[in-house]
Amino acid sequence: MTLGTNRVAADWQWNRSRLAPAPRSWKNVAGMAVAIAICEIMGMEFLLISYSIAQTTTSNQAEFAWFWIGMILIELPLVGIIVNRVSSEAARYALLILLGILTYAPKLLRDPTSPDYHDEFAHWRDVYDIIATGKLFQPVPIVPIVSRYPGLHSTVAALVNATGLTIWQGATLLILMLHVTLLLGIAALAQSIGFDSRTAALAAVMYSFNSSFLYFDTEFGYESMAITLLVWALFSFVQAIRAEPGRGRAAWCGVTVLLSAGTAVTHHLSAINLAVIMGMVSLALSIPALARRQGWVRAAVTAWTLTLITGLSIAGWIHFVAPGTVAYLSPYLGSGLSELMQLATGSSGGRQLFSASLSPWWEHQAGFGVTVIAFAAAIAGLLLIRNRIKGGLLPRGRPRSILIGFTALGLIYFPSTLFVLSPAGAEGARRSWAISWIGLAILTAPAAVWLLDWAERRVRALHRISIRTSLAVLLAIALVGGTAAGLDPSYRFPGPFLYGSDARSETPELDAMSQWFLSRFGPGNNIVTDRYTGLIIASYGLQDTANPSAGFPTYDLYLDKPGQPIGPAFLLEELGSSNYLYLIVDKRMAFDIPHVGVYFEPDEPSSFVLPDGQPEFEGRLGKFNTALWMDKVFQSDNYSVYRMNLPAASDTYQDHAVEFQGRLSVG
Amino acid sequence: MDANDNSVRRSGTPWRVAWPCWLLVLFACLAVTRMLPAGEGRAVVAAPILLAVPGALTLGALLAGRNLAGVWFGCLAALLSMIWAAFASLALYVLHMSITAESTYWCLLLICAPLAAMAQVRLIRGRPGPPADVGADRLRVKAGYSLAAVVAGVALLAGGTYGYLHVPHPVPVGYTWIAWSGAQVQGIIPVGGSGITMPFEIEHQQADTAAFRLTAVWTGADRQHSLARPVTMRIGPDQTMRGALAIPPPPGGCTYRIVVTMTELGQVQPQSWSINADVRHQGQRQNACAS
Repeated sequence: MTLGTNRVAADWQWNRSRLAPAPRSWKNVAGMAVAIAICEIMGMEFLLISYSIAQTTTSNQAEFAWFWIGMILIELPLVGIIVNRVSSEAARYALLILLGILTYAPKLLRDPTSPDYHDEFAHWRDVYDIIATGKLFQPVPIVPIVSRYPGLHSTVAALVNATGLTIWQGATLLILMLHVTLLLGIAALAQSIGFDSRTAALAAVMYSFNSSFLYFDTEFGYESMAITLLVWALFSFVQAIRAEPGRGRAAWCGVTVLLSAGTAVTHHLSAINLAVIMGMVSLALSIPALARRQGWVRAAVTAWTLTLITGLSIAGWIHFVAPGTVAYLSPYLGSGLSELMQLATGSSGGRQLFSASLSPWWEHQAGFGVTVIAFAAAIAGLLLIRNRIKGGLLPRGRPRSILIGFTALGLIYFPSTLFVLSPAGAEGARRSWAISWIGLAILTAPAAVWLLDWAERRVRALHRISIRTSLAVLLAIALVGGTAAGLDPSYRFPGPFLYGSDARSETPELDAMSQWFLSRFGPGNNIVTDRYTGLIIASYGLQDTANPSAGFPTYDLYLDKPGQPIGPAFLLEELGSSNYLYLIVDKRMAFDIPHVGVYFEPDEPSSFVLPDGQPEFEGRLGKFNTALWMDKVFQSDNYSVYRMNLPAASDTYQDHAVEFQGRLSVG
Repeated sequence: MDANDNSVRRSGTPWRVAWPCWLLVLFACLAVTRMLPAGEGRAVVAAPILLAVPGALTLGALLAGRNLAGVWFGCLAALLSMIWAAFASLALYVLHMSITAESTYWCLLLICAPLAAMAQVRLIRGRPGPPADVGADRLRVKAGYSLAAVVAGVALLAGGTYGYLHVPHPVPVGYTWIAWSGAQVQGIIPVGGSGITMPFEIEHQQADTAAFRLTAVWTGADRQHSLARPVTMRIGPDQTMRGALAIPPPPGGCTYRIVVTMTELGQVQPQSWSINADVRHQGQRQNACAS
């Protein structure tokens, strides 16, 4: 018997329905393995075809079809074996490992050699700074808050220092490990709650359908590490609660504290979510109607103590190390709630879902469909819990309380989907699904297993096959829809340059400008530029870009009309006193609307795009060539670099023709 | 000597009796891996040690005597190792020590040593375990499944990555740029009595040769005036070219804005690139300009 597997599973198995002994029909295991291998190789090949098509076109929808056929070929055969009653526990977890590795392919193949996503550049820069300076907490201009949470960065730096890998190689290795560990963590958590290995593995599979799993939680970002730490902290938390008082409980408490502290120094929101989930479970353990059984008070005290320690470690970290966290997080929730209220009262219109998306209609439909499927599965899961309680199969005690705690977590998913209608709340809602789906997977997996077993009991083969096919179709819809509801296709697929896209703005020209700048002026110069140029110049270029805001409106520099003085004056004064020496202008600002809708930062004034769909910057960028306090030191096809000589001197320029001749030479 | 000792002795291999000590030795050997060339080769050896040993020792120190499924043990060991790496960096930061390969190694070794000692003590004091060979085969089979899955998954992922990197990709869009080189432009450039030469650089990262015309003008408060005779040039693919603008001392004490412009020839809508700078005669006072 091993802890976390058979011991707890034996407490109350979900699937006690009388089924015939599992048929040992896999006499030809080798044949099955070959078939699976062919599916996996073909699936991978289809992914390559999909990405190759996507690279050459902006809107050819064939890439979506190839991609999903590939993913279905990769995932469904593995899921089929995982949920089969014949499979052994070891085989199931081995296949989960395989599934975890292969579901990293879409993100890895997006660009195997370098960062792509907005936040990845910030994390890359932070690791670079740790290695270069030997110190933590170096300011990161792209997303300043990331440097206050060094869990991921210091781990990658340690790996890079020990192995000599590049930062990107080290990050890729670490994120792959974390991705696989996340999937196994869901299974471990489900088993620690009391599921058998089949249901637990299916819970992990269902979790993998959440919108963050394929791309967002595989990016080189602190969330990717923190979500895995969170899941395993919950696993050890449940183990601590379920262990008998004494050394065993103390040991698991120790593991929980370590993992919670690790989460607290890695990512703010994940750490807060961890404390909230622990609080929910602790609350469920404190309700006598759910928990009253021998030793329940001590278990509740343990749970609350661990929750308190976690909460205090998060609060301590935020207070002493990352005080900017509250200011960073609060606008998202505040704006989201207020927009939702406005939506409810009809005082403003909501977001048009998938309005700017490049993805095909069937992905949109699947995106809506996944919520319906999840809702139906959640209802089935709730009914199953009710039946178990009524049937005495889920008596009062810790297992029931823990399950109810996680069920409550899963049900948060449904109200959170409303936030998708609010522009400010959409991002937060999507990110919350990686958390709420932990509970949702635990709630719905037993229902799915029950359905499979019910299908197996059908006498007629046609019925069995129909039900299984329907389940496979539902899984495919959940897979497609879950991902479609998450990230924009410009993030998911490689492709040609797309102006104003975080993930497709890097070009050889931008890289060349950035490297020219670095070699000419060295690192650490203060620079004013737009969001997309800033990603590269502040990461590989090692420069410090301004973070525009209402109090430091650097975008106003771009807005002044030709002939008007560039300002406002207080901004120039601040730029001068803060030693901002360079301005970089991408001329496409004057005639392109950014794909993600903003030129500089999410809170910039919406008036930058005029009602006729033209950018407000049109015809306003040439003024930098004639501003007498600026020197243009570089120009490429799209980028101009200006040296700002602030404060502006009152020089007198020659105003009439004089004899002044020089000589040009090249070669 | 007591029953526990006997049970430990009975339980067989040196590994089972003293795995915490062996792991500590293994971690100490991380220093030796520095002799391997940096990169993938060293990573194959060093990464598993760094990302497994501190966590495994932590589990040994905390959970000794409690069986944990192999997969779960591996996952927790990896995560705890990552956490220790982060905590080691924090400790170094608090101690005002630079975070380097060496300092991180010593810090982690300091963490691992007491953990190994605790794990070893717990192992010795632990309750009698089953004879070594009971369940060992089953464990080996389980580990074999997981290992096979890792090998198959990594092979497929590596194969996919190799394939993706080696299929034809669209040719990157080229570009051209011009920039001042030489001394940095910082405000108005003073020009001495013998004049000044201002070097610049042109890079043409395109597949084809292109022809350009270089012009230089000076502007004052308004109009443009020719500063130098235009030069026509051809630049081949992926070529860098250097150029220079030599100017005499500007007349009077006024400031002059000089602009070097490069225009592509033979195009319906010719693109142009320019750089500029302000110059003034070093020996003249600015109030001479007004006169």
